[in-house]
Amino acid sequence: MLATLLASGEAHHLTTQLFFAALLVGLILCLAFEEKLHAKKSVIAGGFATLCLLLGAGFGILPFEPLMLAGHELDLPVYIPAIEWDVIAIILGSSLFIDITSRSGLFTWIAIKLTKASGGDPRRLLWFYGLMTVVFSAVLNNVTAMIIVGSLTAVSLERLERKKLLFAFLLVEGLLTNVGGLLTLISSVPNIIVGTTAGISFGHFFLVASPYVAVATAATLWMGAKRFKVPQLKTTEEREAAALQVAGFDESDGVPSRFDFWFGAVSLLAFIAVIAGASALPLIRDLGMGYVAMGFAALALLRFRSTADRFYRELDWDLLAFFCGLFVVINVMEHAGVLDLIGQGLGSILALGETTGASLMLGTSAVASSVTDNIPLAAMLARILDADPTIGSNSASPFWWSVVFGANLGGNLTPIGSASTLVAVTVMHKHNLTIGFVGFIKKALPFAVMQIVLAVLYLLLLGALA
Amino acid sequence: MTGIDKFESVFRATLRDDFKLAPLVFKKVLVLTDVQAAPDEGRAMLASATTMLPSATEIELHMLAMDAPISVTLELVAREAPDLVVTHRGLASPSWRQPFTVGENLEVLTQVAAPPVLALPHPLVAAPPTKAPGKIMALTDQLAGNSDLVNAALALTPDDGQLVLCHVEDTRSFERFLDVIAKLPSIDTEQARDEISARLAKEPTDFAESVRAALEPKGRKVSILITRGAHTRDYVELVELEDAGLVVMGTRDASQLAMHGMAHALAIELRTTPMLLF
Repeated sequence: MLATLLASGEAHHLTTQLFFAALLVGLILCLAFEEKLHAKKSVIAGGFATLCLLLGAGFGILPFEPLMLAGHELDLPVYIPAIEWDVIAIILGSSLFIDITSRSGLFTWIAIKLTKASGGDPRRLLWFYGLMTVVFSAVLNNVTAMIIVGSLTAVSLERLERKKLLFAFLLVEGLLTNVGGLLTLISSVPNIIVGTTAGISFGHFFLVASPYVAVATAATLWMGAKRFKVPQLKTTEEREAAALQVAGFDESDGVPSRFDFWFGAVSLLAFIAVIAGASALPLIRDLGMGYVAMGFAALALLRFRSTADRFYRELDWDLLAFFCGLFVVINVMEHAGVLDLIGQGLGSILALGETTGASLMLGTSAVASSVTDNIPLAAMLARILDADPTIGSNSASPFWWSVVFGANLGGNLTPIGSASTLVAVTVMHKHNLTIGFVGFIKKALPFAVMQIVLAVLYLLLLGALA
Repeated sequence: MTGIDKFESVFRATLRDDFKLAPLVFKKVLVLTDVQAAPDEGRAMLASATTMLPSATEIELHMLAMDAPISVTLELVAREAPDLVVTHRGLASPSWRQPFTVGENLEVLTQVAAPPVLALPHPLVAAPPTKAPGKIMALTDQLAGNSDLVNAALALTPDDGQLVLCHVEDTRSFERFLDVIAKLPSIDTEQARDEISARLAKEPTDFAESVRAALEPKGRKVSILITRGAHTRDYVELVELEDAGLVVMGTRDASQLAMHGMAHALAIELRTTPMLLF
């Protein structure tokens, strides 16, 4: 057998695959221990990308021939087409646009209005903040949503003299960011990667994801209120006193001007509408969602044309550079046949079919993304699924959804599983609520398991309905 | 962390401590003077108190001996339990002629006795007011959230009088912090100056506006003066500029035994202006 392999050159190919697979494992481990290494994601991914390119060239696996585009020969460096520029454009454009919109005070205004509408009742406040977390996570990115809701929670509970409930609120909100991150195609990076690879439209994504998000949100909030004994105000005096406390918030204070506020509100609604209809709108359909995001960012910048550089400085360049590095690494892995190797490994799961296989894929993705970054996981699995002739050509395949659900919800299993839960833990630490790795898992596990079980049941239901 | 801190700041900035109206009524008033000021001056003080406090139902005059120890004064106040003590600077104090002190009796009264103290000029320095003041100035370096000060001032503001809410931001502290900020490369000095300055002015202004919103519908006249100053003379100039007939200041400081810094200095400087010290 070995002799046959050697003779056919397959052993050499396998050695290359294993060598590059080890590099991939190294990248994943470095990303998992990012905090311990005191290194930014972009530096880790950039370092591995540089190394992979050099080794890829050395092993002779990289395609250095010129690219042909519409009959024209393009002489691009090999790492340029390796990057998925539409994903980068979506992330860059939407981050810029959302940052500009948030300067309008719109999100602060909504957050304070909801706080006042709760009347200061802790149970109602938990529900309102929970729903707000989900909606903000869907519209913004999970991290920004958690920062907004988490910081408001700390301030309002302090105001209501209910700081003992801060841990419960932050934990539930942190867990809900990853549920809210499932709502739309642009709510989280795994959604963008998997959705664009599978060819799922914004509208279809929303229609499939929203029932699950509604049920999982309600279940998480109900469970959070029960487990942490979040009280409901009973007497009229209690209600009046609490209402007076939250009435001290002035929602107009965070709004720089009425014009900015309405500009932010209208442009955000227009952005959602155009993104939602991107697959149906002529011209836009061809230009893609990246164009929509970048276009809206450019339009919004017109309002702040003289201070546009401030927004450029605020961009998460670490995240963008990380994506570029990651895409390059994955591209090299593709050429080295590593993705084929993983695909073969996953073949046994895929072979189980759309019911058992997809459920198992969801669980596996969730466990994997709980200890490492869900972005490389989603990017890698999306490439593998895309390469499968049956799944790649079928955007309705439940395997796509199993990766989406697993990659998002897995983040709730550990405090390092997602950036937004890490933000929740950071807010806890800022307010002297110390919780360790195991402590977090103990508190979060029942919620995460419930959400994953609900997702599996939902996938099965979708399969049955199909 | 930066983002969390930024949004916490945004939300904290939206929190407002609006004025809470809790009317104070000085029904039982204890007028304290000393034998040196009596008897005519004592009667003049009684008349003055009656004029300034139309809601008072029980006004009692007590003469203290010039050498009366402070314990006697405190016992008297504790026994009578008035809502307000009306007295004068240099009460039962041999140093009443000295412009450098308000006298030990008055000083201890303002810090130890429970009721607020209306300190009139010494009767031999200036005659007690014969009519209710037209302008009552609530003067502080911390107006935001200071409902007690406003309620106290309001209790002595006649229906046709004008309540002046005056907040003086301490320039020296501000400049000292700005000097430090100017040495920190991570903070833009000009931006810090503008933003801190605006924020420092906004909080007392918002509070004063909430006072106005609460009182003007009741027919009360409220004016707002938010300014900067550092020295006692800045405060004195403000009082003179506004031609205030009565100055209201908080004197108690939970962290110290002595009277609150600027209140003590002003109580000495404003020798001819009645002051409500609480």
